[in-house]
Amino acid sequence: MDIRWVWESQNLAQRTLEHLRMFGIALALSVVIGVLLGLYLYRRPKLAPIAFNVLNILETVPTLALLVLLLPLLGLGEKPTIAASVIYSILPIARNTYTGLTSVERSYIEVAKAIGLSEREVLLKVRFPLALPLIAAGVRIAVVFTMGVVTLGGLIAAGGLGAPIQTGIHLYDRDIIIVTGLWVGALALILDGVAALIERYLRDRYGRR
Amino acid sequence: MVIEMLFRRIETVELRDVTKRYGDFTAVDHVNLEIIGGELLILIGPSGSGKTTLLRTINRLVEPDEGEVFINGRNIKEFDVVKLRRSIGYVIQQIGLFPHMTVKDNIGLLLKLEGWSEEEIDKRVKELLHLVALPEDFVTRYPHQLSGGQQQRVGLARALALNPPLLLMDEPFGALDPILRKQLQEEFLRIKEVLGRTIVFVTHDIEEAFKLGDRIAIMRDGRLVQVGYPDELVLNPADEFVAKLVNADKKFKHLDTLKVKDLMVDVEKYIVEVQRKDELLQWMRDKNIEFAVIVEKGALKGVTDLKSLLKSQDLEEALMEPLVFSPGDSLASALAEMKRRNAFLGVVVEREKPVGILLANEVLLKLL
Amino acid sequence: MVGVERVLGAFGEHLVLTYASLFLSIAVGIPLAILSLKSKRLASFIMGFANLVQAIPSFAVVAIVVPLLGIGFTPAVFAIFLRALLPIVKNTYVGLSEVDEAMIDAARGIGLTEWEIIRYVRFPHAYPAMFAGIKFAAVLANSIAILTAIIGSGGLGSLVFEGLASFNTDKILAGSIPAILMAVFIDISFSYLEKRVTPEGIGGG
Repeated sequence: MDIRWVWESQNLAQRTLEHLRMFGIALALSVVIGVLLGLYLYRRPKLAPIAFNVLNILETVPTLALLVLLLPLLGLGEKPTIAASVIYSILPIARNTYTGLTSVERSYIEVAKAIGLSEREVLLKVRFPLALPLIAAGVRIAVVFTMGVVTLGGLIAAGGLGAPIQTGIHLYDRDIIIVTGLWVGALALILDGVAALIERYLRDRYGRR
Repeated sequence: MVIEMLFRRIETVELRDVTKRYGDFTAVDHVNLEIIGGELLILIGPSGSGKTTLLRTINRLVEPDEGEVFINGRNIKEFDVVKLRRSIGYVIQQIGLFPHMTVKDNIGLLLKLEGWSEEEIDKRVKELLHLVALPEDFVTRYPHQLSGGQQQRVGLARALALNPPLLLMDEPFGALDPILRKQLQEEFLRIKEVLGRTIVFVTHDIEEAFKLGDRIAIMRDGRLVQVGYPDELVLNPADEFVAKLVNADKKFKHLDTLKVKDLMVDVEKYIVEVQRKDELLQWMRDKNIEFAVIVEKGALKGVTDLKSLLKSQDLEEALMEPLVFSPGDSLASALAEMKRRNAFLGVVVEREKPVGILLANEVLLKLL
Repeated sequence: MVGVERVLGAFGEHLVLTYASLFLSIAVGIPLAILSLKSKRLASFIMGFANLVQAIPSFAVVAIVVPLLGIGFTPAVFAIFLRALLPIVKNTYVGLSEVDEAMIDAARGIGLTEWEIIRYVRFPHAYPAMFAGIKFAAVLANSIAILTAIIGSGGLGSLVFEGLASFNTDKILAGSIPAILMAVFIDISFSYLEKRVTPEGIGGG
């Protein structure tokens, strides 16, 4: 097997950068939207069951089906790929944010109020930091989801590492499939590993015992 | 439905040189203990003393590193372990009930596994509920719908389902509040009489031990310190530890478990059949005793002491009617009665014949 | 327009693909979870492996199957099986192993065999977790079964890929809408089943 030939002919360095770019944008958007939604639902807990039910149903939609349904709205390429990634990743982040904020032990809140913190300060200085480990766990799930969707983006001309995989399958080329497939797999494991480390750090720092 | 039990009744359960280690820690250290068929033996000791571990060697939940366990003279390693456990009832704190099963399924599980029919199981479960004083309509309830005491009764019923001749109970009342615990202990005593089977019972509560136990085995640091009947432990503790455990600062707390027969003195020395005063005086001087129990054809006639004998004209005048107890009377109430009547002695009588004497001074001396 | 027979045929293929893989995953996954109970080492190996593979994109898994097994229905089933197996093994094992040790001890003490303990004590406790795993696996299988059309599995995915190749929106919709409905159906039906099989007296679910 000629790894170097595959790497160069398939332009894998370029593809990897495209891949990570989409991944980075999608994940950043997911974190911002997910955390904000979690905060919003914390403020409006009555809406939470409805919101999570809707997101839960979206979660079951097959990835490829969602991608192709976005085509008429967003065209081919990066946009629908990023949009689909965000749609899948909002749920784990928003749900964990919401759970993290609402499940802070009562005694902490009471102490915070007793020493004279305002509602807003309690939220920002007590609830949010204590929710961080759980939010990080949600982000870690989102990392895996986003990796999966971005890879599929190759099928709708978004580039990234999905593109050479598709080429490999179409050409029925063992080398391309194996090299690219394993590389995507390795990349996914590395990113998951980094997310796991961040989660562990936050759990040690803010974790409840 | 015939149940295949490894043994119908227990003659003995013998632990020979049983040792169990966990790494460097010796949980049970060369324990030799014989449990007699039909008795309730208490295993007591502080936590970590190895009592539970020792109990669990009997149904092979713990396999000893050294030593062996024999039931009716047969090494339990010869038995199939599942059959062995089904021949031995096992009761622990309420966690032992299966939360996903109804009361009926909990009690009837072993019956079902033994191939009983639905009707047979129904019948047996109802019998058992009756025995442990729970209403029949509890069959459909789940453990979480029951109080702690009720759960414990179901646990006992489950252990009795296959009618095992041997019961192992590991702090069965440990998780209950004191009042409920007392109540369940009383009831358990009643059930125990009805069942008449051999029971090994682990507890860390000395009061419970005195209340329920026939004999008590005291453990400390994995070793068996002393085994004996309650009065033996009180009167002749093997060491400081036992003395402290059975007495502590509440010396007489267990008095109500002692019987008159436990502390009476032999009557032979004081018993005499005479007609005349001088005859008796001579006899007492010869024997160098202060008082005498006079009988007529073996039956109690009365008591007298030197002082009244010297003051009176004849024997009839000197005779006093003594306080009479029977050997099974509670020692505490006997002593109370003696104090009230200001009597220094009581005669213990069985079938009209004196069998012993209760001397207030002697008793106190022994108890102190 | 796309012919109704074509859609029904593709839908049928999709169902067979999804459920064949799912049943295979269940048939292998549950015994594997039980086996993991026997050995701590096997358990940590399987759990570690499960966590790793779950992080790998489905597309990469589907692709890697091609050099191993070629293309067509069987390799597709195998790819789906690989992904669906993990949540089932993982959840079943977690459910089976998280039963209170004191309860297992009590079960052993009253004379249940190891198998009876699994059957009467561990399994009822594992049902909620097990069904959550199977539900997740079913949703995953339904999703990947569309993707596997790229390696010749047939089914609804074929319509989607044909539609993509020819910019035919009708075909894309004919392929994706039934798959979405299927996903919703799976979610609802498995949630219902989950409630049915969870024994009373076991919290959560």
